[in-house]
Amino acid sequence: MTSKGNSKNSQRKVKQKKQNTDKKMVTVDNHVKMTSNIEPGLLKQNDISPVKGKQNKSLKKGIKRKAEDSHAINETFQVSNAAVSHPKMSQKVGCRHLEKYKGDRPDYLDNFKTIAELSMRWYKIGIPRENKMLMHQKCSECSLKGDRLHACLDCVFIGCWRGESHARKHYKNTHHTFATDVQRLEIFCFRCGDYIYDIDYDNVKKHEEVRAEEKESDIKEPARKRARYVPWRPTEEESERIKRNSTPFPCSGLRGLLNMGATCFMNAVLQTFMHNPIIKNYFMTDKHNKNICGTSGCMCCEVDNLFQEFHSGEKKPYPPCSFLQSMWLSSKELAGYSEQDAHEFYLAAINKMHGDSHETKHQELNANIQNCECIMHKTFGGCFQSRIKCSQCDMSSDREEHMVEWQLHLRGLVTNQKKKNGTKGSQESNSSEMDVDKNSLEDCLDRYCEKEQLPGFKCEDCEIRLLNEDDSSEKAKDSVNSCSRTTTCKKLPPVLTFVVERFHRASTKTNTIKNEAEFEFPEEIDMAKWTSRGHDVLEKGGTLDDLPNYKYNLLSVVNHEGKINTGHYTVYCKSRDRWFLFDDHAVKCASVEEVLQSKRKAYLCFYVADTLEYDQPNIN
Amino acid sequence: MSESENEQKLASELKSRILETQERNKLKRLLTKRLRDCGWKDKIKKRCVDKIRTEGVENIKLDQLEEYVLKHGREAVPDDVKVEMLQQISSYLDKHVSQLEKNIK
Ligand SMILES: [Zn+2]
Ligand SMILES: [Zn+2]
Ligand SMILES: [Zn+2]
Ligand SMILES: [Zn+2]
Ligand SMILES: [Zn+2]
Ligand SMILES: [Zn+2]
Repeated sequence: MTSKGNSKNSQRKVKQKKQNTDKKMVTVDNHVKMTSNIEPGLLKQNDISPVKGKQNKSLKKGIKRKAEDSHAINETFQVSNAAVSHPKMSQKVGCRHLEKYKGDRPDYLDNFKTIAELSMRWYKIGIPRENKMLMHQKCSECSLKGDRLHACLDCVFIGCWRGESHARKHYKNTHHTFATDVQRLEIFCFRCGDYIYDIDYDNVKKHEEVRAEEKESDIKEPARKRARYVPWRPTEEESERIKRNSTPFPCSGLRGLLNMGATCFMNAVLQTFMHNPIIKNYFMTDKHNKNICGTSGCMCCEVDNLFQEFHSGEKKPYPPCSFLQSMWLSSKELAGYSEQDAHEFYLAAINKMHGDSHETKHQELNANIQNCECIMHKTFGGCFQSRIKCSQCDMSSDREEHMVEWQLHLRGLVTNQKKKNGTKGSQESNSSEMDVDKNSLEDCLDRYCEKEQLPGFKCEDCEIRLLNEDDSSEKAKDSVNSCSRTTTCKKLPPVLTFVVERFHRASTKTNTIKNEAEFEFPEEIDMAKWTSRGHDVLEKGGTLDDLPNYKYNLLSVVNHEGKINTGHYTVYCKSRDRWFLFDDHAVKCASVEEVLQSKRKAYLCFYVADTLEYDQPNIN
Repeated sequence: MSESENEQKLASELKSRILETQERNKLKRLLTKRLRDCGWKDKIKKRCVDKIRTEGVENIKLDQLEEYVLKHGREAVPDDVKVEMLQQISSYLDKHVSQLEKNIK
């Protein structure tokens, strides 16, 4: 890194880099210490690639990605200090038998190290499955494979645990006191009858885990030449200094996007993706890594790239050229894209990323999108239920419909130039005077879930019944008008997308009109009332108190300002509990009041679930 | 060969086949995933942690803890998970039993 600029500048750079490096080490060390299972990818992000030229850049990226957590460093430090100095902890954990054993056997770690090494080969390193399986160990006595095998720390015996428990029998026969779970690498003391913790064994385990990680990335991405992990524990003085000099990155993950020629619709939607905690989590944990996938035109890779750019520490607005390019190239849907509508783009992006995702299993079978495992459908995919009921008989039939958005109809029409088109327009703008303030999100949802009569819809059950009875035309007429439909939400997605229907087309001849009626939306909303479950409970006269938590919090709001064709998109997003306004390249702080005031502009509103539910097992 | 002998042989053949072909591991992985996804694992873990807290970490051994959660844990497995596992097992058996029977005879 030879910076030939003025000396002051380069000095500062070096300093900054030094500081960054310190931070990085701390985070790595802490991760190794604090988490027993190193998430694949966690360490990978910290790779220092010694490839020439690229070095500086990738180093920075690695740091900044991790730096997301940098505000947690101080906390982590306190935690780890506390753990060490806690008198109870150091006295109580551990077993007397082991203390003695360690005294008698200076080589007490050797066997364990071998087992740990093998264990990583068997269970961790992602070499092709078949190979891995062939090497699976089995019980020395009964050849049972896989089930909580325990290896003796004194000899080469490996025994099963449940049932016959040859591991226990081995202890009874030989009095070899310690065994380790071959997969989890925890130490069991047969005399204590319990798993015990010992820091020396634990360190060996951690060491082997890191080495396994390194090997894995050597196999998966040989080109990256992952640097070897060197343990480092800050001295007291060093950790003091780090604490003193560390400040969280205040604006990490915020970056404007340049307008590439009327691409604000795209920029706005992309910003919502970038600040969507579920999507962010997915990409920040390397679930779709552009270096591994590498498919050209893959939109997931493009989003992965955006995350890297957003967390690179670079403050200049980013030009999403390659994003745009691969969008044009790869998708017919988007290529002829003249509408420049954020909502359309949102849908197209979901489809495209669904297609590019590695988790997508039912690519050919669109029918099975319901259970799609791709990140977009896992984030935005929910399900409506429309129930058709007949008032004449007991007929009731449910239909489920997959959804990635909730379209909300505004009551009343408010346009820039009042009474613009035809008779219908004037009529509606009259009524708008009265209804205009009733367009809150809650109102719209109430209306959406209202029972709706289905004139002309024939109830099949009634028809059959009438055929059997003597046909009377009066009754037949009833059966035609007896049905109603109620639509409720059967499964709420983790992130709810509300689309405010602002763009109307009164007839094919007229132009599309923009409705600028006020749409009020809260910062927090309890969706229970509009779920199928909640709806049923209320219908039976129950209360919603016993339902699970269906609370949602506002996450981002895409605004459309100005006229329909010349209009402009901006977006409010919440990042780390603070609101920001993204206007293409510009990023500004915003207050929640300001966000909630965008009633006339709000077009897409994203809400994120307060608590994420467990997956419901689903067999089909 | 008598009927029961035949059956026994078939059973042991099946057992070793399931082990050899990693079918068992496959099923185990599926089960683990399902149990984790539906919250069973967290529930059981919480139960264990609560028990350890109330008894005190020094006063409870692994065996006791196992005994404490075992019955409850079995009951707490959601029915759909059980059904799915049974389906998987029986579809595996359907595939292999007839073939094995031929081999034995
Ligand atoms: Zn055994
Ligand atoms: Zn032994
Ligand atoms: Zn002991
Ligand atoms: Zn990709
Ligand atoms: Zn999908
Ligand atoms: Zn009917």
